[in-house]
Amino acid sequence: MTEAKIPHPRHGLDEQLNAPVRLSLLALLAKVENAEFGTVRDALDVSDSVLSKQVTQLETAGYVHAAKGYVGKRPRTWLSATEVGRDALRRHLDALRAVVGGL
Amino acid sequence: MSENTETPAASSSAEELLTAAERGGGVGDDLARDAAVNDGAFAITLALLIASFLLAVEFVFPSRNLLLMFGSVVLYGIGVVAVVLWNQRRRRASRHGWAKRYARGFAITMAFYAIGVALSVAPEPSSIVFWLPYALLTAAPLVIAALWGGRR
Repeated sequence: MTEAKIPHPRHGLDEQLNAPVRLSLLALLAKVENAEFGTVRDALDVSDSVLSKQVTQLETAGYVHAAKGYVGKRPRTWLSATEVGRDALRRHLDALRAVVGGL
Repeated sequence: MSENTETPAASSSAEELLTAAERGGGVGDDLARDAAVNDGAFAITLALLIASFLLAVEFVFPSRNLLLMFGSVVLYGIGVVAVVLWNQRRRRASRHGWAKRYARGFAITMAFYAIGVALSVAPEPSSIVFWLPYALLTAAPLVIAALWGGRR
């Protein structure tokens, strides 16, 4: 009889979240209903273009939603984590803890 | 989840990623706390404006003093516009469930307000013993929405 093989925790990792900025971004958005783009950019200490690129990647993966609006004449972009994104974050963090715990 | 060919070692170590997640989560907690104060101040101010206007409808309008009536309507209008604009400009984030809680609180407050306006046309003389608690009851749903904490 063959033994059931337990998969290595790294298989639970999410490729999209292996970049620190994307992971920080999703972890931040998971704590709020939504947050304004400029505030997130300043909080994560990244440039507009870097954040924009990371948001696009997470949006493509279905983890983040970006909504555009206006306050007066000023455009504002609101970012929020989707349920899929929150689940992915939970699984990824569990896998990371398992990887670290296995050291 | 995508097929995982890239391990943390290929981009960042697992510890680095956990630190990044903790940092992001910490910033998110700070934003949620600030949002709670901002949204709470907005909802409570709006609730007090609505309750005050209800008292004005009951006690100022029957006097048929046009200046007082006009003044209270203008003050109410300016107050609402000012608090909405202030909130829009200051708001940087929202707590979990805030939009739903606010919508529910606002709807119930406006329902109490509408009932109050309907009661105010009754021929009985106005009594502060009834109307002050009723105005507070009108404000209560929005105040509760403001003070009720988000989960997660």
